[in-house]
Amino acid sequence: MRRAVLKTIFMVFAAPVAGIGALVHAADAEREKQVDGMRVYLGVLPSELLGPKSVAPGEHGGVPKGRGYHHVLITLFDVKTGERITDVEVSARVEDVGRTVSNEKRLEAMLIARAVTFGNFFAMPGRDPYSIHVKIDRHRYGVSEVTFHYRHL
Amino acid sequence: MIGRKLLLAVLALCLSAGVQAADEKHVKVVGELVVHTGLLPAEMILGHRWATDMHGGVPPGGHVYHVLIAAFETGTGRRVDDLQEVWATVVGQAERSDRRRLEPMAFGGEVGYGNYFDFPDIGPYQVAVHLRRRGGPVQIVTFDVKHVRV
Repeated sequence: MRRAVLKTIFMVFAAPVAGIGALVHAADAEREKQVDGMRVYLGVLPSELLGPKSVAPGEHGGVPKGRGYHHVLITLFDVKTGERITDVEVSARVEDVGRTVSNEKRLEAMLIARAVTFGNFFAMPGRDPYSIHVKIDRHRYGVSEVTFHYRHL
Repeated sequence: MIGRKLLLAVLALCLSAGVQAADEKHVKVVGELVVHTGLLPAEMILGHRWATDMHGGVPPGGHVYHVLIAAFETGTGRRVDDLQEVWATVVGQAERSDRRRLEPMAFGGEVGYGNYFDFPDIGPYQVAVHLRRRGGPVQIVTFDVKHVRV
């Protein structure tokens, strides 16, 4: 009985700790990616930084209540010209690796320091590694997809 | 049986504490202010090819982030947009420090304060924010930030 309890303690505490160590190296924060001639930048801010004024009534479904919500932001540039790309539709889903996957949400265009970015709120409460899957619809140029591996800084 | 229940209770407590600590890392209370912080890659604001002198230009380096803060009154929850002085000092493991004024800026229709800082090394950094309201004392709040990279 005592051995069984000790074994259980090891399985509950020691094994996950070893796993976390591996994940720290495997999954990390990525801030930019290149896909189909676009440079894609990722930013994640605590939702409190972007208050109610940042979201029009009904937009993004409103500012979510509760802890752990973050604003996932995407900015796009044309690799050749360096121009900011704004005439696109962007959506994303956030996967808490090995646990949960959010619904796919549209990222709404918004201004940060007069720069157009696309963003929406997602529940990202822990320091777990996340995969952020981004879909970019450039209309006549087709749909591009890119995945960022992310964890809170 | 009792051992198993105790084990589950301890595990639940540990998991709960871990999430809470992670959740609150970006928010600190100092005096009558609640201060939130966040970082964005500089390119998101400056553009793919930096060509602006916003905030007096950006520091050299390949890992420049825009450090943002927003402050709220503890009692009312009202956003504070009239800070008289806001400075941040970023210190990394190499003991190099960079001190810059965080300037008022609009993000998403709200007022925050920010500036650009280079985070050249992988590892932990401390971001010490000095802020003062009109007629009030200087308040200092420190955030731990870890720069991780693939």
